[in-house]
Amino acid sequence: MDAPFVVVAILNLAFVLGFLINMGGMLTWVERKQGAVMANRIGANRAYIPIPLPAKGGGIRWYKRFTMIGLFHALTDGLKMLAKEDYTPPFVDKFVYNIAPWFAVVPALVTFAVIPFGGPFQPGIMMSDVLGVVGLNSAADVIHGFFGDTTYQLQLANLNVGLLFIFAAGSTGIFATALAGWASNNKFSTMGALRGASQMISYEVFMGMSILGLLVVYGTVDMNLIAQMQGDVHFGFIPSWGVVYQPVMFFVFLTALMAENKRVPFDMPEAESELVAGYFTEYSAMKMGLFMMAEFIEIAVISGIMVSLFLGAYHIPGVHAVTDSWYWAQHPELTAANTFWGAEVPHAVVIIGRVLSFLIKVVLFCWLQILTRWTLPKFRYDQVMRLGWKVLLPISLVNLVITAAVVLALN
Amino acid sequence: MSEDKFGRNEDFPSIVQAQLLPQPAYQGEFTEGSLFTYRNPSKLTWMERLYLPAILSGLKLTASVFFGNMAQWTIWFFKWITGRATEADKGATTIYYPDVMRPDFSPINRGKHILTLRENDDPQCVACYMCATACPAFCIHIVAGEHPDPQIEKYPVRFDIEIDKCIFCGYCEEACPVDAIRLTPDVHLVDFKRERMVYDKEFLMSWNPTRSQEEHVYPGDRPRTSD
Ligand code: SF4
Ligand code: SF4
Repeated sequence: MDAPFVVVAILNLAFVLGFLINMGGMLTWVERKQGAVMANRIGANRAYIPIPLPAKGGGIRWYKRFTMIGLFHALTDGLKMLAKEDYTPPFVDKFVYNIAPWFAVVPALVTFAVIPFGGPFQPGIMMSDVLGVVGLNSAADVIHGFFGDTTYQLQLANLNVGLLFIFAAGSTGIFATALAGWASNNKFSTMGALRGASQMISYEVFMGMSILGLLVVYGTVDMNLIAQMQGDVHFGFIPSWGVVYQPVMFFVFLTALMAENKRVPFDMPEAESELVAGYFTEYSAMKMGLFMMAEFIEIAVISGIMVSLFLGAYHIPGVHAVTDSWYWAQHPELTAANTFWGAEVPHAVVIIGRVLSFLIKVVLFCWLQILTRWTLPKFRYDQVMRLGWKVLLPISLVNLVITAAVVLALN
Repeated sequence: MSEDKFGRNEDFPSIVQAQLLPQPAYQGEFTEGSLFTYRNPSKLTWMERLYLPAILSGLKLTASVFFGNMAQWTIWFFKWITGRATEADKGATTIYYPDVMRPDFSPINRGKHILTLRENDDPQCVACYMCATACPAFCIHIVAGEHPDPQIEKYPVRFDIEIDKCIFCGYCEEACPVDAIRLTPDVHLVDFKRERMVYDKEFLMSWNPTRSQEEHVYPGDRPRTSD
């Protein structure tokens, strides 16, 4: 626990928290606006910040069209939820009722801890690259001296059980549904909680089964290593991403994650059309806001998981950093360097490009999820059961057997 | 025709009996045992029951709408920064109601009344009560006064229209001999208080469009003077 490590950890934490919370806010806007564009509408555009302008006849005229294409709606939503009365109904189980929203929001936040969003990097060399371009050479020397040439991870917690941690933390989210529904002492809430539980036993099984094929291919549950292993290129042009090895499981696992997030088409625990608001019917103000926030943060988290497992994590095909220990161990004939299709580039360019590539992939995935949410009708209760147990579980098992056979044959 | 002891027509069976009668042939398949529950036969092919191809085709459709509209919005944006954008350029079929009116909103639609003005901004109305007499909803209330100009003779001291009673038939404008009352296309006749739904003379005369745009008042929106 030396000082540079703590600094890197704090910066990582700031990045991840800032990213998730902002994505949670932004996605409420994206959800409305994208849904509107998909339905030939204009979408949220009324929230404005009034700007005083001088009026023609003297005095002040308030300009009310500064709406920033509806971006302020996320802000007004947050303000509204904070300012509303936090009403606790008299018939609820106070302790469980109050603790349930945290079971929703904490798993959503901690899951991202093990997701590598930029891979191994050398902060000393990277910062001196950046500062050298600006011309602050003395500052560059100071920072290089502080960090040295040591390699750190752009990942909050480099756990060697990363994938298992994702499953463990993600499955905790169902406690929020069950506890909130039960503690609310309301028929709609209890129905929502029951549905959440039954939905959980539908998706949780094939969720685990579907990812086993990928584990057979990679042979590890370390997220950092899985990410590094996707940095290679086969036959000169096919990136060795998870989706290339397991194209069917890509869709199956995405289905499972979307079911875990309890959004349309898997929104039976909430089911506005049937259960008012499902398991959080009795919640108000920011407690209800925490459920909503968890849901939107989870979209970004799901995208992060999918990207780091199936879409090459932070990798850009053909771009390698000097710190990619796995890649250089695979290619002993090459000398380690920061390369872009063979050409040498500064370390900072590679790392910043990687973080950007990760963010772009995540944003595209969020777009895909919201597209799905606005396209598909809600599944019925029994349909999810049938889909999970009769369609997706057999597919996952067959896929696992085939993958294992192929891997065994190739080794 | 026979009647049972309750006086009911036995030729016309009760609901309980009707359930036992043979049901008309239905294409679907009947579940054994109960006549009134049936299942639609599943007409999905094996490929469709896999869900995924059908979902992907659905996503393709919505995504094509999304990208089509986004392309349209991009064109609109480049026209907008050069100041040549119109409502039709937007990638949406909806509009910024009520800031913007639909272009196909009929200009002869019968909506909010106005009182036309003379050169000196006095009302054209000569308080002849013709409109009030013609009004089938009895919603026009006029108090006449003597005009200083003997050529005009009378003018309305008060001219109130209970707009919430009005049925927008347009008889008042037909009846008026001096073209003093007209119906405009505006239909934004809303308020939070019933008392303010009585439009007085001043409001009916304050229809000057430039004036209301300056104060950012929506068409037909009554200035909120008192609460
Ligand atoms: S439009 Fe018809 S109902 Fe309305 S004030 Fe005129 S005459 Fe009366
Ligand atoms: S009919 Fe015309 S002139 Fe006569 S009272 Fe009505 S608005 Fe005035």
